[in-house]
Amino acid sequence: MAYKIAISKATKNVLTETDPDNLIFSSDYNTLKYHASGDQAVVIDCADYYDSEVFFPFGTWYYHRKEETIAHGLGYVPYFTSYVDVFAGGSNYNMCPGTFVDFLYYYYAYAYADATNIYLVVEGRNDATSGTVTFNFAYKIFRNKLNI
Amino acid sequence: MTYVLKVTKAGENVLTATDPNDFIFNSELNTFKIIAEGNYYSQTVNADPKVFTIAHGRSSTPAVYAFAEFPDGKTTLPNEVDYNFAGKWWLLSVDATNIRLTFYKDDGGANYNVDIKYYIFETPGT
Repeated sequence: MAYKIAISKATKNVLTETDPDNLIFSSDYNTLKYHASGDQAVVIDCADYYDSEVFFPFGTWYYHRKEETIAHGLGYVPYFTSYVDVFAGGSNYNMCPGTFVDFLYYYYAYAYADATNIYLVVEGRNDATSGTVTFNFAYKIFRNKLNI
Repeated sequence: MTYVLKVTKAGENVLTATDPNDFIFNSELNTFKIIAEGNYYSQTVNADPKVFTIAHGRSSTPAVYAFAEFPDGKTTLPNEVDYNFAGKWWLLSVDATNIRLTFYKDDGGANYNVDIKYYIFETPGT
């Protein structure tokens, strides 16, 4: 005999209910299990560019890539997600990937994973060779194994 | 009398805690249920775009999420390009019937394989 744990919403009969929308919890369904969450800034140093290109008559534009690594220690690729603050304005965060494109400017903010790390990556093009551009990421890592 | 089942995190008082973030489980709060999940391995992207369709079997459009691992070994979120910025990218979409994962390759690029993981979540009120 299979045993299970179920808790129904108010007015629903837990002994007969089968619609998951009417259950607060059911051991028939997996859930996301938190492993870690945190914040990580990725800062582009505009003096550090890997390529440049002239767009006449708009001058020289510079390509930048910067990444930060978060070790998750799970030994498998986990369910993960990330948010970044630059694109939504104010104190808002939008879900990665984030994209900003305006004229010749662009910035992309991405998150990747493997069995060891989460990689927070910013790729961009601007016309600056000095100063910094900061992208604040908020990442969430779950124990759920992707089997990927 | 209404009964509740609550488990708090270590250091929190289960009898007085009210912040949802202080609970491991609280029967007053709906849980984020995974209705279904699955993997597809070594799917060949041999067109541009290449669409993989998964019937979700729900009666309305559900919340979904998915991941894809490109040949560079990094797992991507929906709508991302590959880690190496080699021109591969993909989109996740859903309607009342199907989940669609649409993969692109660089113009004229070679075929490549991807591994896919998808999730279908409980979506109350739909």
